[in-house]
Amino acid sequence: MTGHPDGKESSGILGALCPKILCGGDIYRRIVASMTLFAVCVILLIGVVSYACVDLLIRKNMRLAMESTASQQALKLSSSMDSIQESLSYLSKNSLLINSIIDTSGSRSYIDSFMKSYRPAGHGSVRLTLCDFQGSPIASNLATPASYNNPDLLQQTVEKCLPFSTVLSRRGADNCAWFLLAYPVVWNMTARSEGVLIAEVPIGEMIDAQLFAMGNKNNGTGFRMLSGGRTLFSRNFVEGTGLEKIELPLSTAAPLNNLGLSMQIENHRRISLWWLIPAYAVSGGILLLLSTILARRISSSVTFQLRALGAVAQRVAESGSLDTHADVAGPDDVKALASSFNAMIDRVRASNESLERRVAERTADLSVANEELLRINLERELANDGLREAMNKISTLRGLLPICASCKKIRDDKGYWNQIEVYIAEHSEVDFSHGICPDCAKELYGKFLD
Amino acid sequence: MNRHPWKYTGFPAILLLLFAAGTARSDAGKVYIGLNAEAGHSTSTSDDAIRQGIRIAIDEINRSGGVLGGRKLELIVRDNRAIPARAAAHFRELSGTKDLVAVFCGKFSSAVLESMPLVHEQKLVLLDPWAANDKIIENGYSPNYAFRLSLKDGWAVPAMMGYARDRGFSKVGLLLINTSWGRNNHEVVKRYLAAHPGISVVDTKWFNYGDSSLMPQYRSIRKAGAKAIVFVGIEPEAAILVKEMAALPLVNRLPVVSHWSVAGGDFPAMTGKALEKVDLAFVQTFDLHYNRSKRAGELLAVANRLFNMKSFREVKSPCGLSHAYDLTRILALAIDKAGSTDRKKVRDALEQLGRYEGLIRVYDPPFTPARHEALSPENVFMARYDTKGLIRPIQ
Repeated sequence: MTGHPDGKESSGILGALCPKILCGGDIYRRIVASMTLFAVCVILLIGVVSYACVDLLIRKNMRLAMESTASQQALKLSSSMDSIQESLSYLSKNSLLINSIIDTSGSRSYIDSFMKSYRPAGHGSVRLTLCDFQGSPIASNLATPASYNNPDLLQQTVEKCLPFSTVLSRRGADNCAWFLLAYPVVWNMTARSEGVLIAEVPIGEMIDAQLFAMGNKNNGTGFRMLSGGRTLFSRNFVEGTGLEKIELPLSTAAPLNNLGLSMQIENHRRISLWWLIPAYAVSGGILLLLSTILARRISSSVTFQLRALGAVAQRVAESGSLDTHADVAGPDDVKALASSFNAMIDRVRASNESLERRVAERTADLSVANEELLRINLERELANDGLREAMNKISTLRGLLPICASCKKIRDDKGYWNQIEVYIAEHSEVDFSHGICPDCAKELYGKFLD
Repeated sequence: MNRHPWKYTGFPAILLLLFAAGTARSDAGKVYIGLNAEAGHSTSTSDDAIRQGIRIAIDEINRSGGVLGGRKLELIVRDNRAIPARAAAHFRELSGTKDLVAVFCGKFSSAVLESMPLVHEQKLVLLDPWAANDKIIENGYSPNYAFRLSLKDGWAVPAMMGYARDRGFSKVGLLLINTSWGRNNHEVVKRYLAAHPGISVVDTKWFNYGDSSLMPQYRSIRKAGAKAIVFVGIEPEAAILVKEMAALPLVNRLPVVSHWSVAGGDFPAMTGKALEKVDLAFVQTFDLHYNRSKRAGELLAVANRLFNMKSFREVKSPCGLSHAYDLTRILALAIDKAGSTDRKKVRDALEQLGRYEGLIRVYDPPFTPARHEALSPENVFMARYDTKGLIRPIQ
């Protein structure tokens, strides 16, 4: 794991998830944390979307698979039923049958063994009976054939010379339903139906042979065959519990087409996505790890130049030297920042140099002025020395002068009261010229002035 | 109030009763004969001939005073379409008809054999003017209610085999219909071969009603070295064979010696020109097409009146007409001898009749308790269709 550039270990995923880290800390951590958090969100989002998509896809595929299966099964069953019908129709036209109807000894000689030996392809349990026009058996592959004196059957096959079909139920169970197929046996010499070939086909056995052979019994689907809403055969079919249900009509030739046959299949199998969890966890973990590494690399690549720039800035700050420049490298914005920083350093250095130059110029001027001032001061000191000597010679007007509030005479050190002009004149180099101020003039000579 | 309502209801009632009584007396006066034959068979003309023969005889009998002192004979016809189950159903229905003394059967032995238990259960006199299966008469029932005035297989087979042998066909092939009739002929042939070593059967092939071709069987028989074919079947399959053979090169056409049922239909019309290309001979019992006898002339007069028949040459199955005519006349004699319509008495009377000069022959007597065959092997001969489509005995 990539370490922090400063040597500090990052706080990892948990740290990345911490808002404190997101809102504070250095850029490196914030970038890593942000990217990691983003990766986590993406992984979660991908997980959710993937689950939904996989589930949807699986359902769709299952639906398609069921439709395909149902179509195949319907085709198989239709073909099987048509095969039986074609076999029986073909058999009913066999001259041996009409011959046996005309031949009195048929039921006691060849036709019985012929009937017993006849097997429609793939339907070994078909009960086959050749009857006369009244439905009385002539020959059969059964030991004790029943009489088929059903008026509808005889009306259809003997009178109308058309094939007939119906459903027989034995022992009341759905799976014990049989197809009864009856075909007229027409003699070309009378052009009439002179007998009936009747076959009872066990529906369950037929469907088993066609659909559930080869150990394909528990494939998680339910199946049933219907005839006009009546269940003829069902296997693993529980109404209302299937996840998916498909119904297809069974397209058959006459006479079975009169029964309105259809088939339904339903799917009980739930596709478990538990395998998605470890797969998702492993791939998510790898993705998170890669994203963290990537985040660190990206963050490192982004902040490396910033850190270099910061180091340069720190050196400048600590040394005050503006001779250092930052490397202009890294991302564009960092390069722009480094370029700006260098420009700033250059500008500051140039500004400093200008300032120093001006300071030097000012300093030079000040030196001249100072020398002049020193000369003047020297001269003044010299003057002051002369003055000081002069002063020493004169009393100086300094300190408190006691003056009369009324006559304005000043008391000297010796206690004598002196005229102010006298006193100042004695104690300074001032000479007085006498005059009168307006006010005094006004006061003294007001009346003359007017 | 009407004081004499009977004036308005009584007279019509009396008239109705008188009419009903008259009708009942008229019905009671009739003696019924049944015909249970294959009228619905599209190519069969044997049933037509049988019906015509019966009607000619009935007309003659009724015109001469009827039976039992003036009771008219009347024919009831049922079509069994050659189907045994239908034949049985019709026999059962006819057996319930009052004053029905006997039932004629048709050409198909199978339809007759199927009904034999019923015939004897109902004590119904069965008169056979055509069906040739030996077992119809040799049925094992006693008393036997079946009587035949016709050919039987036991006579037809020697006639056919003898004809073939006489023509030098020492090796023949059998082509048989896959029914009880065909199997009966097969048994007779085997018995014949055991007694006549001069001829042998090199191959036996079977066919079914409704088969569309007999060439596979024919080729097999020819390949086996047969010099002639002995055919046992009816006219549709015989026509198929003749037409298929006619399409073969002449050297590949074997002579055909047939049972008589090729004459059970309009065979010349069914085969057309093909018939001229095939050497076909068949069994017959009576020559009607070229019969110039006085009795035949008398019959033709009746037939002309009844059916507008100009010549017996219009009859496609002349043996059927002849057999049925003679048998009806014999039945009428038996009814009179019995003195009632009681079937048992009629049956017994049939065995007790004296000499009768019929169309075909002099029956002396027609039947006896031990013999229910009115004809004999002497009546059997071979014939062929001539160029006019008429049946001409082979001299």
